[in-house]
Amino acid sequence: MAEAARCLRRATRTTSVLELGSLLTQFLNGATLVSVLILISIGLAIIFGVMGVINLAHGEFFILGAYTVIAADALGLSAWWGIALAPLVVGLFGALVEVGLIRFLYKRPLETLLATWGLSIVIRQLVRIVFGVGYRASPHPLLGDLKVFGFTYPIYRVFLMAVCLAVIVITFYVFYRTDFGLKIRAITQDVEMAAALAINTSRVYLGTFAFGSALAGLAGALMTPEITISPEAGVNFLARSFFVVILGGIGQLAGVLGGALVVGELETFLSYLISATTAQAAVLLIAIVIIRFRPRGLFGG
Amino acid sequence: MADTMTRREALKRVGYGIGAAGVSTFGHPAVLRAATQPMKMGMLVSLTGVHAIFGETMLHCAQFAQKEINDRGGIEGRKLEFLIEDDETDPKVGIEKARKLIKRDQVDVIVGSISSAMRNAVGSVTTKEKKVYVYPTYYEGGYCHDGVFVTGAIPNQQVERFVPWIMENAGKTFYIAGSDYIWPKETSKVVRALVEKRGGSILGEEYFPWNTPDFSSLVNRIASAKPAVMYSLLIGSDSVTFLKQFHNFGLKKTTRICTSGVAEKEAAGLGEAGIGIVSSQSYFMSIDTPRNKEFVEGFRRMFPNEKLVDSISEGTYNAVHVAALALAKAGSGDWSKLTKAFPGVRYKAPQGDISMAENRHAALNSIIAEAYNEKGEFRIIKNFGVTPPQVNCFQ
Amino acid sequence: MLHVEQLDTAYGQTQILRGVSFEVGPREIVAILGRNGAGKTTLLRSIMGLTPARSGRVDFKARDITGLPTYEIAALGIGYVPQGKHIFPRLTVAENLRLGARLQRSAEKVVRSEVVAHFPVLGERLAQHGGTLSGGEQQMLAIARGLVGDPELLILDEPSEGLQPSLVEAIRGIIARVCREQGVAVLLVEQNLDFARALADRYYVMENGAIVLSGDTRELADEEVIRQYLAV
Repeated sequence: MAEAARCLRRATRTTSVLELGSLLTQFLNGATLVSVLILISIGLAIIFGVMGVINLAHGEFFILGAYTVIAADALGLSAWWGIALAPLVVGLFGALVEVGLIRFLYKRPLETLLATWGLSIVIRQLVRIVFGVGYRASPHPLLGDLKVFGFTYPIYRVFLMAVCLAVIVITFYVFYRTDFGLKIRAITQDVEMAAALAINTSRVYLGTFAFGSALAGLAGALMTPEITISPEAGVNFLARSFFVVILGGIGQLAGVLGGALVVGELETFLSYLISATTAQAAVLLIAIVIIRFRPRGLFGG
Repeated sequence: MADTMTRREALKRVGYGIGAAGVSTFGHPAVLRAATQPMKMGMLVSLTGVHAIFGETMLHCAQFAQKEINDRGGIEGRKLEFLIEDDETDPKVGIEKARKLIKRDQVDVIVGSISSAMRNAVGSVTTKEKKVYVYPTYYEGGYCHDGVFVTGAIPNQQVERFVPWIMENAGKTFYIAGSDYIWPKETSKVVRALVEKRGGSILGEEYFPWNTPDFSSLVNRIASAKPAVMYSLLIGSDSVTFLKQFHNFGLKKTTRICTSGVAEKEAAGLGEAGIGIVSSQSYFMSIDTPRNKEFVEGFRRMFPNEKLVDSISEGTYNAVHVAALALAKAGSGDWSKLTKAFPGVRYKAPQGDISMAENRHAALNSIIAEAYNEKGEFRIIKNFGVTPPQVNCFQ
Repeated sequence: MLHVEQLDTAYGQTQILRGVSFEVGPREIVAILGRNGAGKTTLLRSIMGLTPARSGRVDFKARDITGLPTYEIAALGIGYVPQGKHIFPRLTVAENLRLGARLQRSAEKVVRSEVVAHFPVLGERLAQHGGTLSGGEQQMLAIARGLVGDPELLILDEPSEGLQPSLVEAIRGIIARVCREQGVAVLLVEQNLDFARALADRYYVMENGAIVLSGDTRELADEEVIRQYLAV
């Protein structure tokens, strides 16, 4: 009751200050979160859609991206180097994981789940050993505001959205305009038939896992100035990404965009209007209702 | 003094002699036998999970204290032995491990844990089993149970001297944001009362669930409220995430960050975003006294990889020393003697002199300091000296 | 061309193929006949490496392909048209065909190839998703996809299944024409005896996972044989 009254008070107060500028700011705040969610979820969704692998270590791949920036900084390289190296480093790591672990577990979903969960613990421990258990920070690569018609917004966040947009375009291009994408789509729909048409499925799996890992690593690197860097930080984003993928429709590229849009913007706008705790619970509730009526997700067939 | 040392030495020799000769203790006086056995203390810390960031250093500080105690001959001639358990940052595990320490390992005292939830979990076991528990972390206050002693600061010690200083030096309009649990809410009550009593105002007060990934909505509300002071009661990684984003939106230019939830470890995670933050704690690593220098240097000699000590780990170090002094005073781990022995214990801690009050909490120092570099180091602004704990029992 | 020797295949504890041996010569069309559950589909899957054999040996073009991964077997020049068509439902007709051509040629070249010219109905539906085609069109697509990669051996698993008689006739005609023209050998599994008789040079009859009879299809008129091994 008291909570409701407080929300109402907040809502009325908010409407009075909700002029165009702050509305736009709120939209951009949401768009930043949406961008990050997309960057992480795309890899998760592709790996699941193509390989049937639910990668519980995806959050740790994200963190490895962030620690690539920390390592670059320690080596005297700028954050930009870290951001550029992260997808390569984490993509390569993902490839090694595919060859050394995932490859032996195709078509065994439960074992894959256990294996990737175990992998997540191993990565966290390795990060603790190499980088220490404490929070880490690296210099901000691009501090400052973008000013347009008197409206200002942190330029790095704009950069983040632009990168996300580029990644979406590249991913869609790879999927729908390249031979590799055609192979991926064929495998997703009928893996035996794809193999019977001479598609080297294990090479495509390797490429897919590496690509998905690289995207998680890129996301982690890009987020270093915006989040807490600790060995444990991956879990938090992983949970939301699973949420996005399930909401959007499993195995759907467009679903990832839709799911992230709903989760990100809803959470940001609601937490502007009502208390953050209530807002996060409300997003969860809305998502459950959507999945209740559309069990295959917003974009599922 | 020399006399007692000789007696201790003698006892020790007797003990070792027995062990070396492989002779049973049969036939020796019971007192002598008891005196040769070690004093057992349970260390219950988070070595895995999100609180491992603090737990590892807490344990190391406790081990440093243990080494100091044993180097000086132990507790009344008895060696201090640690039994270490990982609570995995999970209160359910904390309860299990506390039971194990008491029932299987037969410890008389448990030291450790970091969150209110974990303290309540562990405390529920120790109170029932009539064992002493020393909680070393700053918290909301008001936890009053027989045999639970606190060496961390409570809101009046963190805030009473701090808020007037803020209002004089930074401004009178406040915005408060905290993590959604009891410590921020209780601390905020004290802050609000002090601000309003002195003619200041609270422009907003908000609480956030754990692991909020994006605080930009809060940052924008702060930007439009234009407070002089942002009082942050967010903790751990949420504190770091928020303060980074606050910095990235460029708000540090107009609004001063004041907090009782940020110390060396959090500041290290903030990097350049942490510079200028003013924090109130009972201990900072940069306290410039010979006692603190001795503490920091000794600790680093023992754990060369440890970079930062904060008020939580110093509180744990103090907890071990205070418990050892109480054990020595009581002469044994017996519950009724030991609980009576705690009040009045005085200890020359790295932060300055501290003492245990009748209300089971410690009289601690109130210090404010400003983070001045990207490595998480603070510069002391003002040391107000000892503040007695004002405990209003409510939990 | 294809030489199968003493092939044994099992699903778990259940033995499906028991010492199957047969061969397909160059440019030859061979039919495998038999009732449901005789092991015909498993035989084809074992050749393709989709259900690996437990023992025995498969040679293709005098090379041992036993135990190779499916994609390597396919790459040696085998076109495979499985039972139930297995076209990619959410890929376009043109994309299905390009995959059939092993992505070696551009979409335009594939579409204009001689093989595809034999399937005029596909030419009108190139941009459509495979899943939107009718059953007969999907079978046409599956066969065209199997042929467009210029295989030396085409493996067909019940191509006439579930199609109306006029379509069955059309498909038979196309297979006969293309395979003779291109010199493709065919291994055909069928339950439709007329279809097999009209298309194949030789036949093998399977029962309980073993080959029990073989011969020239022209001689496959014996009512007794048909009743014993093939009648439902």
